[in-house]
Amino acid sequence: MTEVRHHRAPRGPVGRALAGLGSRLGVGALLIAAVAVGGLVKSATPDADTRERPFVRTGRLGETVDARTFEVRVLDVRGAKEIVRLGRTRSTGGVWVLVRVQAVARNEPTSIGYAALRDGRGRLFHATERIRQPLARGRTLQPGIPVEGEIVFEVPVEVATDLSIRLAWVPIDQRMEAVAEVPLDIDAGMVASWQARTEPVTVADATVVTGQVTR
Amino acid sequence: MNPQPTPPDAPGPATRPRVRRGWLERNLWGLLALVPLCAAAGWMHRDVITESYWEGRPREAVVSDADGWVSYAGARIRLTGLEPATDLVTFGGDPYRVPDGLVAWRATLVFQAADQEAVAGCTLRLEDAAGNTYGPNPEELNGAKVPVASCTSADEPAPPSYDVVAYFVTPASARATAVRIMIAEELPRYARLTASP
Repeated sequence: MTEVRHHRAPRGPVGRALAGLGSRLGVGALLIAAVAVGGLVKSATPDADTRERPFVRTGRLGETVDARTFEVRVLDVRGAKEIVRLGRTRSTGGVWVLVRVQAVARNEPTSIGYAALRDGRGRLFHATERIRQPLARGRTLQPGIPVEGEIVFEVPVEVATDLSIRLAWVPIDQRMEAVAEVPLDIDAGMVASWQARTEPVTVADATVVTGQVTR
Repeated sequence: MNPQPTPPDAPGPATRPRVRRGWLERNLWGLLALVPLCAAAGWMHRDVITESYWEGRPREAVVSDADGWVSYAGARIRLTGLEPATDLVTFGGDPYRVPDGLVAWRATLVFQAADQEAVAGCTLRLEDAAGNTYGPNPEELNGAKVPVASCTSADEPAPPSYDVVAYFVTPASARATAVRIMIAEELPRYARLTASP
């Protein structure tokens, strides 16, 4: 026999309506809570730009920096108001910055597909397309065979003392790609001397570094 | 005459008593449906970039049979020669000197490819004993009279069997061991040809 523990009078119409309303309010509160938790998770996790940012590997002048498919050393930097490349002279209203680098592929053929200067405000100045670059954007690097050459940039004079060079394999989209970054340590005296130079400087060709083959 | 109230312990009508189910029981099917839904959500957000990167990498070598032939992209290919190229000349006919510390390599392959289109977009690589790969026609051989490497025949129409010669350069310490042929539509499969014994 079933024992009846307590008795409750059946709900009236108002009671049933209130119970239904309470149930709906509970569901609504749960939905709001879920959306709020989702918003918190979203705000606490990195956005797509941050999540897929390049892997920037920094070094100093003369140091070897790993750019994943190649290793690179920034050797020195010079500048001028005029440059000569393949017999043609080109002048600028800003300043030409010529960065001499040595690069070697790691395991398979690659190239320096991306070369840019980054100023203190984060602005990027890509390697100039006014000349045929001797090393960047085209020269294929073979494993174990270091190649040395200059990468040429054209920048405003006022940013020349606050520049870092950025180098990578992928030409356009550096998301989740290794990027080598090296500050160039250019001071105002260097820029002044470049601007005072009356003779154009000849852009050096890319050459194999004899005697430094690494494998 | 008023009806008598039913005593509390009297048996009720023959209907089944209404049982109040718990939350877990009421939502069981919904919870079970969450499992495939979560899996589907994970699949939709899978790392497509990494997947496509790996699919586009040469990871599965197609090796030669006992006679040295490799069947790849509808063609039969055989490596007949892989040796240092010590007799390079300039376009003027003078001896060409390879930069110090480097060695030029000549690879000779025989192709039997009825469909030239199928092998037209191939990529050739030289492989050394350490697993490094090198591209053909390197800038280090600029000035040397070497043909542009290709997997197709120079003749039109292509003969049933034709030779392809490719030149590479490596550090002098590297030992060339194989030639790889890659065609985008075949990746991640690639042909790996070793010199016949």
